[in-house]
Amino acid sequence: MSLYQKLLTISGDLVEILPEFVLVALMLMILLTDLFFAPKERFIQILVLVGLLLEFYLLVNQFLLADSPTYAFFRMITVDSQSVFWKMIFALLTSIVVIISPLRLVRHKGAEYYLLIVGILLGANFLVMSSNLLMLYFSLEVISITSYIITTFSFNRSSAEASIKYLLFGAVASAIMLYGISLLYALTGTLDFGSQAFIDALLSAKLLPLIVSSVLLMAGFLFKIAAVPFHVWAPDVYTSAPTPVVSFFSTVPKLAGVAIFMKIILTLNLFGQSPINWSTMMAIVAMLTIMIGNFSALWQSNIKRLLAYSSIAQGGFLLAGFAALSQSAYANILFYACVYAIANIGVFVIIQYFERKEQIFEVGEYTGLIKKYPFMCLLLTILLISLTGLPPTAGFTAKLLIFTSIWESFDYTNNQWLFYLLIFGLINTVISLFYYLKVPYYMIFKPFRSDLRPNQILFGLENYLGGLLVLAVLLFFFNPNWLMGLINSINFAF
Amino acid sequence: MNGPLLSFLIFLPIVASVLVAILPDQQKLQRAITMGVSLLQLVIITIIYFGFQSVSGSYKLENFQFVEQQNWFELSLSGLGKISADYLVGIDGLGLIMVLLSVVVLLIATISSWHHKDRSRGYFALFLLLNGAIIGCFVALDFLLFYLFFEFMLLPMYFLIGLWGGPRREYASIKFFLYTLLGSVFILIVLIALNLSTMDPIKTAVEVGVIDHVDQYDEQIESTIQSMLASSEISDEQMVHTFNLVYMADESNLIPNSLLDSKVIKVILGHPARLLVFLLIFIGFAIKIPVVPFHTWLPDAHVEAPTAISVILAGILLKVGGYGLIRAGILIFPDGLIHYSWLLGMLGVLSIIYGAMNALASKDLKRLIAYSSVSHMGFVLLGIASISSEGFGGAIYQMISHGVISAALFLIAGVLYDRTHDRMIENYSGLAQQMPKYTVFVVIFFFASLGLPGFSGFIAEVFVLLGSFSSEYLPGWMMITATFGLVLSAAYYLWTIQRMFYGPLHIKVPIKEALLDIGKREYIMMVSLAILTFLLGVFPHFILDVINHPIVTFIELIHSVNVEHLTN
Repeated sequence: MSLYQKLLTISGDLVEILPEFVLVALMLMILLTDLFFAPKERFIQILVLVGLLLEFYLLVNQFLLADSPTYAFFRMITVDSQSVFWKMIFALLTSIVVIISPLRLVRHKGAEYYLLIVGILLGANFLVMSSNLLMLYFSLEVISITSYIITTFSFNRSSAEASIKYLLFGAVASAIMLYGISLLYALTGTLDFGSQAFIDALLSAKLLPLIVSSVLLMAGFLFKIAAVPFHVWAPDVYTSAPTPVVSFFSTVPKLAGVAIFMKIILTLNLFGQSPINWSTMMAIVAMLTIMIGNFSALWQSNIKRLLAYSSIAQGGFLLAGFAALSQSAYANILFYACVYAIANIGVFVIIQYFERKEQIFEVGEYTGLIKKYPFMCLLLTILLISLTGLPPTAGFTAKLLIFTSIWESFDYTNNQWLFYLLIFGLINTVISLFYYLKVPYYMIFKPFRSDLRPNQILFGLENYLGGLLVLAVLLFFFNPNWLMGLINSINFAF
Repeated sequence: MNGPLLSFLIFLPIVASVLVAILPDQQKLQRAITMGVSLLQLVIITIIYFGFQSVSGSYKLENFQFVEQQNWFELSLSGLGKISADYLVGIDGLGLIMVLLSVVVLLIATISSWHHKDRSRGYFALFLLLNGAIIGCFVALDFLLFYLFFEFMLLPMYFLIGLWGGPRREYASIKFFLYTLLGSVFILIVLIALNLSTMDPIKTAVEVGVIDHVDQYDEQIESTIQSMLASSEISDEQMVHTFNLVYMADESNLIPNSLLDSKVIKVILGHPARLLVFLLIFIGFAIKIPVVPFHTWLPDAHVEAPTAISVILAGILLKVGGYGLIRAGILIFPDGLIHYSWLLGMLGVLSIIYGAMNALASKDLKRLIAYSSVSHMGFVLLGIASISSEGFGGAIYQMISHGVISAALFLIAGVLYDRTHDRMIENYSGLAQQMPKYTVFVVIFFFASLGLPGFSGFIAEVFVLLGSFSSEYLPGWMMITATFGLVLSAAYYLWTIQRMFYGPLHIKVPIKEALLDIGKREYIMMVSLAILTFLLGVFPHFILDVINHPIVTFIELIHSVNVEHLTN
């Protein structure tokens, strides 16, 4: 293929990444307007929201048109309904994060802040689309490096420390992953992990290098998902970073990790012919993640730290879905991811609200808040119930679906580990109740700590946003088809 | 008669709960709404009771009455068929009397909370929410719907105990929540397994193309589709998995080679899958009943809960466990029941004796009553384990009888606690002189509870003992040991009466006001419950007529099951 032809293909493929173009343009606009006009932060916030809206609109169009996967840029990226769906979720989540981002906390660094947020989103978008190991690594690094910087945006000692920790762990995880990629390249001679050549080469590969390379490759994803043993960064980062950023970390990059993992594990599983039993391996990782997340969360008193461990445990439940390794499990993971994202970001919306209004950071300081903020406390209780997985919230439906696919897969393969995972996961639901309930317990059962006047403004922006998210959590319980119908229209290329 | 009466029963209190939450915070309005709901429910259930025709026949959906069915959701499992959940409610005789009991006990609890003033808006809103969930639990015929209501009872109960309970309420409420949630998780496992192993014959028939529309369904189609299932003519894609509790009880709807197939036994961890799953669901409901050794949440929850909530807890919530065990446990896994009947009977006897011993040693009046509940609910389990019509009848009768009597007993404890804020038995003596009317009621209900002939408890216990004695599944000594439990219960009740009510008047705790005898409101509750337990003791046919047909159906169903596979 001549250079001209190549360039022609590249320019022809540009239309596939139109939504990402919008993001890049948005980033440039933020940078330039900040440089030349020094606008108010509110202006940049609205600018970002408009940009995200435009991106979302383009994504919807893409979703409606995408019926078969399109390979672009010489199979560097694949645009299929699955990746577009994920991108739509990311766009929505980012919008929420932008809405709840406080104006004063970012100390005249509003432009940089939003720039970095959009940067992470851009990385996440490319990550879910990538079908080439190099592209994958590149997108993962875009997410990581922007994340390291934005962690420091609390501008205090502990957030600087958390950022350095994050950087060190991240660098190690990236290095390990890169090593895995290089081994895979040596084994297969190609970086295009969706191609037949890649799979054929893996099928004929020797067992030991195959295990080593694919396990090393996993490190990067597990780091992003904050799964055991790459979870240690999460509690510190979550505690020290600004709350909106934490709400972002716990959803977008995490789910991006899940999304690309969904793609890559299919390849690594080699249509069930892999000598490595991925089902068992995922079951073990999931169990460890759930256990460590849950048991550590039990002892936490800082609300953000508690939620950090909670999100580790939730990541474990997402990984539990991988253990089933079936097409229906994929749909269910997607469902779980959506519901988790809604509930988790909702919790952060409310935590951020309390933090802003009352300057409280510890669970112990939530005493008797229901007197002052009855509506917000009710919302927070419902969202935490959804994270626990009790009816009547979508969290229950999501857990039910995940466990259904595990059980179904157990029925089919008779892999005893899946049964252990099932029992273990369900019992951990009970354990998680203990710490999730701790927050409503303090809010509702404990007496009010000071004699502040009841809150006069009942309906602020956060109230509406929280109410909307709670409504979604309830609606997806009473009619899961509204979400599942959308997910079922996705082709998982099994 | 065919209006959506059952849905009305469920959603009336839930709507009222929302009303209470948004209307102005006036206690009088709130209690009036709650009372109005209870009375309206009483009217509706009376209409249902008289409109209900007791029919004999096999355990089929057609033999349920007041059935309402709506599609709730259908999820496709890409490649493995669909999961379909329905909003399906309906009652047979068993469901009817459980709903009847609930409505009556809830009415009593409403009267008991009449003067509740502390944060009344939240209290009545949660109370009504609990009311709806309870009714929903007894009428749901879809396992997922049942589970939804079953779980949904926990949250209001948790807050009701935790916010309005006694000094150790926070500990008690979280213990209650964790224990019961653990139980529900076991049930959830079974729910998933059953769903994946059961076919919805109607919807599958539509999917396969045997019929075009669900209305064309009849028995012939059913046998066609079931034989298609047996010969594996239905592909995975066409299979519609169901949560329907009645379909699950029909062996012909079990998908061949699925995990819970009763013909080809699958093995999990070295045990037959069906037996293991039965054990899980048994433990799930045993925590709720509660059966020793899963009972430890109960005394704490009871002691700390406010009176009206104790009444609901003992009067209805424990019965949800018994009811669930019958509906979702033994009817779906008769082989499990037969295999483990000895174990169930043993645990029943253990509960009877151990509960009674603990009651004997209790120093707190409410704790004594709580342990007596454990003891009496043991008879329910023993009756079920006997797998005889007498035993089943006794078990169900005991649930009704205990529902009424334990409600009254907790009211009794509440009366004393309202006046002195102390429940220690040793702190009182000679109460008979000060509170003669109260003493009369205490004696009546204690005697009713210890199984004196003429009261409902006697009928129930006699039936259970008869059933377990004639049972081919239980050894004779179980029945004899259970009888010993009756002696123990006589001992602790009589001893309590002697300690608290006889002798010279002496009260060791400071009393704010004069120790008044029971007031008008308490009198109404006590008298109505006393009449009820007396009526049930003298005219048992009110209940027996209704539950007779279901029991015959249940026994037939259980004996129709092939259990040969269990022996080898």
